[in-house]
This record gives sequence, structure tokens and C-alpha cells, in this order.
Amino acid sequence: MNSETVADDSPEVVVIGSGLGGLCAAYELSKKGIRVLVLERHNLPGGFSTSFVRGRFEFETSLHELGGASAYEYLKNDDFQLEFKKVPEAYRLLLTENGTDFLAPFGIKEFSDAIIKAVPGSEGPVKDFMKVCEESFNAFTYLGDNSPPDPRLLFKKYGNFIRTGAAVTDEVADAVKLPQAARDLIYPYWCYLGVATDKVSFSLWASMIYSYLNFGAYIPKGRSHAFSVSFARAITEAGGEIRYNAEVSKLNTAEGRVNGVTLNSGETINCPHIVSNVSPHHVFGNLIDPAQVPSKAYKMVNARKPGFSFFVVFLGLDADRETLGLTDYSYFIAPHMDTTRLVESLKNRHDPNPMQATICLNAADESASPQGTTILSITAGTDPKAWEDIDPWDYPRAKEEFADLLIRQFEKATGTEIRSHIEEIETASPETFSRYTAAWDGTVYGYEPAPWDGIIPRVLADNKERFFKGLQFCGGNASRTYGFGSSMLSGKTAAEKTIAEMNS
Amino acid sequence: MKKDTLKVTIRGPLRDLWRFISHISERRRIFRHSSAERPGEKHSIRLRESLHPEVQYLLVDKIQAENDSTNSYTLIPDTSQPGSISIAAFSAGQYLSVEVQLESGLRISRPYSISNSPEEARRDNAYVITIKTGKNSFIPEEMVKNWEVGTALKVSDPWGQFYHNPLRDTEHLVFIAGGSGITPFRSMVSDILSNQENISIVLVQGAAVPEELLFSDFFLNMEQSNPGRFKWIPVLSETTDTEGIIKHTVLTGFINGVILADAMNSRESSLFICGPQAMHSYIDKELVKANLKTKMIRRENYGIPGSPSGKEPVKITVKMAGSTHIISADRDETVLVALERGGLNPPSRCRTGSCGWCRGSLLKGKTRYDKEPEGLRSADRNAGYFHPCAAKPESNLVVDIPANPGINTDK
Repeated sequence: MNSETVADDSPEVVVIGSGLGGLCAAYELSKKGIRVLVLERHNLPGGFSTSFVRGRFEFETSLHELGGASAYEYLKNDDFQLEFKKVPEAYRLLLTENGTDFLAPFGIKEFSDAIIKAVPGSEGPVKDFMKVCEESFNAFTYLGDNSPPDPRLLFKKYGNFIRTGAAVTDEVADAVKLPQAARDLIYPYWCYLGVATDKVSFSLWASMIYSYLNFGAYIPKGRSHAFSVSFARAITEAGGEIRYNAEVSKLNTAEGRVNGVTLNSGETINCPHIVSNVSPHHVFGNLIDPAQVPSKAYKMVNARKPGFSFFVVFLGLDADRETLGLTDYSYFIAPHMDTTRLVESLKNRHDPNPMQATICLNAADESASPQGTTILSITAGTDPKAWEDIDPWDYPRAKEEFADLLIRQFEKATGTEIRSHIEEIETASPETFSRYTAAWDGTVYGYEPAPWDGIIPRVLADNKERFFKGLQFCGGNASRTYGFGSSMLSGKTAAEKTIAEMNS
Repeated sequence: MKKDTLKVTIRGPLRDLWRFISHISERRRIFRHSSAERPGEKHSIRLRESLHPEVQYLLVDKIQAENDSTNSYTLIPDTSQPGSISIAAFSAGQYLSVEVQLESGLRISRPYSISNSPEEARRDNAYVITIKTGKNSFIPEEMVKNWEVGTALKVSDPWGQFYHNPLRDTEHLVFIAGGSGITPFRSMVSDILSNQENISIVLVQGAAVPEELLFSDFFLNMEQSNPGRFKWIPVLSETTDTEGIIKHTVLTGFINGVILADAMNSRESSLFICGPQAMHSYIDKELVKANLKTKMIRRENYGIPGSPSGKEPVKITVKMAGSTHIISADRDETVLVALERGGLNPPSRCRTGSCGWCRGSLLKGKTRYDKEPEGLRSADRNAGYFHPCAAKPESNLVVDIPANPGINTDK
């Protein structure tokens, strides 16, 4: 073999998994001159944050919109050179059982006014509800900036936040007497958290909808894959290394601390600090020698409920959106807005009336596909269990059937005809997500943020729930919970904690 | 009440405060009462592993000569390997990437379309791949010449997007094959005719001489048993003498606009084309010339052409899995082939620039594409990532290439 082999320096920190959290952690660490090695089992960076090409279309795999200021500001960083397009409206809601057709604008005032106009007599409750949401958002901002917080100031200034901090969303809606008709119009964002409004931590929900509505939302040029390659470039330019097709099969530990990883290829890399973008389920369940894992770690993992997954139909259409009558960017289509029943329907992939969240990239970015074409992607939640009975040979047909149902539902609710315009079609199921990201059970969202597993309990318990020295978690299962911005910024937190540990 | 004095309570102020404080200990209580079992494997993993195993260990079970230079190989699971029980499911039209060790010691892999239908494959627990060898073939002759019954192979999971989709495609399909590009259509014709009653197919099969019309008995038989639903149009470019070989009308020349218009029969059609790059270009021109509108064209082609020119070679510095290698490369072959010649065993699947499996990073130097690869993501293009299977070196290069994760590794 006419080649020479040179061994490189050993890393100071190993990052397992190059989802946005892992990439952000590696970027923050390498920027400070720390030697970082990112190990990614797939041949691309980004995990869910990527894209794929079919014919003349480049499809977005997962990002509907990047909401909230903090992630957006972070990504405006000069190292990344990203270009953004503003999403025109919050959403268009179509409820098929009662004929609701509601266009929700961005802006707290605009959004509230639109609800009040649509639901006469709801002014007081709507304003109160939005006000508590704002206070929760502000309290989180305060907590993020002030550690430890001043309890007296917290109680004085953020009393509503404290009183609603352990509540679920429905309880707060009840407390401000929000009419059902107004809830129908405000609740659609539930699907960005994936937990019914009678189960989801209100403070998290409130902070999420406030940041979307107040700040608006953006999509990047080049799809979310642009985020991932920007991070990857910045990491290598700062001296870090990313290895693709490098699956970690073992996380090595001794005497309660991590000391390296072993790859599928058999190679062992010694390293005293590890940031895991991989879920605690996989780390404690599969990667660490069971003899070394304390039973408390298993208990913690088993108590938490992995979020649900999605079924996505990606469509490349051979006409422009004016011709097709696709006026809006984000369509929420559902039979009703009873979130408990909508969650129940995720267990059955034959449910004739699921909820779908559909986006038309061209409505925010005309150049998202070639002139005279349109990209539409239809997303429905689905429980991975709903796919367990499928024989592998029948799997293509099962995907076709689900896709057919969602396309029909979209056409019926919007009064459009898109079927004859399908030039490219691709589908993704929990199996697809499992295959490309190795996310636990093909889930897309991290652990469900019930009140006891919302951001506040996670942050407060973080130091007590660490079972190995030198090991930090980031990504959708970490303290900030999931979503593009939260998963990504959890990497920054993991990097800061790792640096603190290195210096201690 | 003024807005800034809004006071929301859920269960009363004190109880809310107590609840806020105690929802932290609630967490500890829930953890205490949960199971201490190690979490087990779940549903989607089972489906993923049966659909997309990292590697399939298969044995050659049967070799059938199709003509002088083409054999069909029946591949069955090598049950001596742990977990190797069933072949992975596929859609008609997909391919397998098969790894072979050459006599020089180099290991390379090449994609082959599966020629039996999913139904047949499932029934027999076997894939059939049909391989043409010869000096002008995409397949190095050396690759398969030592295969015999019992030869063990490492094979990828089924790949590719060259398959029929009833949600997208028209009810009338036109299949166009050149040479050994017929293999996926053997599977697709069988699959669609037995499972999709409303679909009609015209297959235009191009070859040089009658002996090269692979699967002619099968297509004749399908035409007779599916009148009105399946029509076979064989087209020969080098001879008209089919006496005693093909019992069917045979057209002569290349697959031109007149033949295509006849195949489309004034119906909205989805076209599927599989064959050498030259045939794709020729058919594109003929479609324009004959003013034929298609609903869509799906393509499968067999590799990026290129042969050593003997021009001054370039040097490629390759970073791979923490090591650095220096190899020599010819300017008229793809970077992927250079990496293979250098013994680096790089990842590859489609070898036509579309699947992205070989994606790498170009750190220094210049490459060219004969044709911009279809699968390249826009952000990748802007940030200097490239598909080595489609790129040819223009200068000395420094590249970062991921190590091969699957079928080319010895575990």
C-alpha cells in the first residue's frame, strides 16, 4: 500500500453524537482551544438537523421553524455565515369537525386580537393567559441569567410563575377562565411539545408559545443541514475533529468516572471527559458495562417517558404555489383541538383523522425549490408502537397508505388538489428516524416534560442525577428539553459544565 | 383589576407555593418507585434491523448462465453467521452493494440491482442478481470470476430510489433499459403486474445483439399472460437476425423518438430509464426532438465513466479516521476509484453521485464533476463537501473521507 499513516493527538473531550447539541458543545469547547473529537455513527452531521435530495428538490428533514430569539441570535454568529428567511405567520388552523379556519399572526398583540375577534367575550381571559405566559418566559430568562436566583425577587416579581410552575396548561387555562373556543385557537402549538395540555408543564408550554409569538420564527437557507455543516466547519477550523461512520459501542468507566470510548471498529479512545448527545437510555442501557451502572441510573431512565415520533410525507410538486393555491406557510389540520384525544390517536396509524402539521417552504422562501415547483411536507405524530406489528415486506405499503391518508386529509381541509402534481415523494417513519439518527425507539422528541420533568426540576436536579464524573449530557433529553433551539443550546451548557469540571 | 397586578392561582396561593416546592421532591419519589431493570430494545429497532441490517452475510447458492458474458447468481443467507436468517426486504428496483476482494488484495464494492421480485425473494429467502462481465462492462471481470456455489459474500442492505410509487406515478409506465440495465425491470415488471391491477407497462429493451436481450423468455411469457397490460419492445442496434433466438417482433437501431412515442401511446407516462450514461443522453435528446412530454423521468445509471488517461498523476492526501495517507491518482478517474486503488477501502454505494454515502470534505485543491451530482446538498456544496464517486481530481488534493462503516470492514 503506497500510503503512510500518522497518528494524531488524543482528545481532551469526546463528544458522542453530532446532533445539534453535540455540535454546539464541540464548537464551544474547540473555540476555547480544547482538543475535541466528535464521534458520529452516521455519515452526516446534524442528527435530525439535515436535509436530503430527491430529483430537483432538497427536502428539510425536520425543522418546521426556528422560534424564539435565543437560538436565532446564537446562530447569527459570524462563524456560521447563515442566511435566514422570516416565516410569514404563526399558523393557519383548520379544524374539520366545526369548520374552524383561523389564521394566527405573529406578535402577542396581533395574536391576542385575532383570538378575541374570533371568540367574542374572550378578551379578559385571553389577555390574562398571554400575560402569565409572558411572565413565565421572563422568569426563565431571569433564572437563566441569575444563578443562584434571589428568592425574594423571584416571589415578588414572578409570583404567577411560581404559582403556576408545577401546574399543567389546562389548569392555568381554567384559572383564567379561558373559553373552550379560545383554547381551540391557542393550543395548536401543543404539537411542538408533543404532550397533551392536561399533562404538559405549563411553564415550559408558556415559555414556548410566548417566544414563538413574540419573536416570530425563521428558516435557514440550505435547510437545517446548513446549521450542521456550519457547526462542523467551525469545529474543524478551531482545531476539533469530527469522525463520521464512527459508532461508539462502549462508554468505558472505572470507579465512578468515565475514561474513554470503544468504537464499533474495535478502536479504543481514552478520554477523561465525555459529552453525550446520545440519550441516557442508550448510554446507561447499552453503552456502559451493566456491572458499573448504579440501579439509580436505571430507575431515572425508566421513570422518564421518551416522547413520540413522527410520520412525514415529503412532496416535491411540479407547479408553483399560486397555481396550487397554497397560500400559507404552516398548516395545522385536525378534527378538533382536544389534545388528549389527539395524543390517543397517535397510537393508531390507521386513525382516519389524525392531526397534521404541514409546511410549505416556498411561502417563507420563494427560492426553496426551482421556479415553477413547490415543496410541501406533511407531518403527523405517531407512536413507535403503532409500527411494531408491521412485517418488513409490507412496510413500503404501510407507508404508502399513511401518506395517502395524509394527502387526502390535506386536500380536503384546504380545498386544494396536489396529487396530480407529485413529482417526488418520500416518507419517513419512526423506523426511518431510528435508522438515520439512532434516537431511542425512533422518537423525535426527548423525555416528556411533565411538570416533575420540566425545565426547573431538571435544572435543579442536574447535579444530583449525575452518575459518572466526567460525563455530561446534551440534546433533546438534557435539561433544556427538546426542539431545535433547546437541543442546540444544551450543548453550550454541557460545554460550560465540562470546562468547569476540567478546571476543578 | 389592573393588568400588572394580575394574580393567577390554581389551588390557592399557599398550596400553589407548596406544590411548586414539592414538585422537585415529586421527581425523586417517581424515580424511587420506578423499575431498576436495564432498559431493553424497542419496537422501531426491530423493524430497522430487519429492513436495514448493517451487513448481510450471503452465500452464492446457484449460478445460471444468461448468455456468454452474463450470469444470474442466487444469494441466500449464510446461516453460519450469527443472526443471518432472512434476507432484508426491498422494493422492486432497488440494488445491493456487494463487496469483493480482488486478487491484488484490494477490496471494492459495486452496486447490483436485484432482478427477482420481492414476492419471489420472500418466498425463496433469496436475492437474484444478474451480472455482465467483459472488457467494456462497468463490472471488473475479476470481481465475479471466482464466484462458485458456496462463495461467501458481504452485502449491503437494499438501497436506491428507483422504484414505482402509486402515489406519484401515472397508471401507464414506460420502462427503458439498455444492456444489463434491464435487471431492475425484471423485478419491477413481475412485482407490478401481480400487485397493481390498474397499471399498464411498456418495456423498451435495447441491446446490441439478440443474445444480449436478457430475460427474453420471461418477458415473452409476461406479455402473453397479461394482454393489454404489458407490452415488450425489444430493440437491437447491431443485428436484425433473430432467427431461432427471439420469437417476437424486434425493432432495429437505437431507442428513438418514434419508438418512445409508440410506447407512451399518447398517455401521460412516468418513464423509468436504466442503462449506461450514453443511453440516457441519447434518450433525452430523442424526447425533445419528438416533443414528448413525460410526467416524470426516474433514472438509474451504472457508474460515472472514466478511464486512466496516463496524464501526469496527482497526489491526494487523505485524512481518514484519525490517520493521514498519501495516494496517487489519475486525473481522468474519480476520486473514489483512486481511494480504492490506494487500498483505503472508502465507503460507496450508488457510484453515480446521488446517494451521498461516499460524502467527504475537500480541504485543498480542485476537483471537477462531468455532471453536477444530483444528490449533493446545497449547504454541502457551499461548504466544500463533495461526492468522491462523481468527482475527478484537477490538482493535488487534501481530502477528509470517513472510514467505511459497514460492509468493507472486518469485525
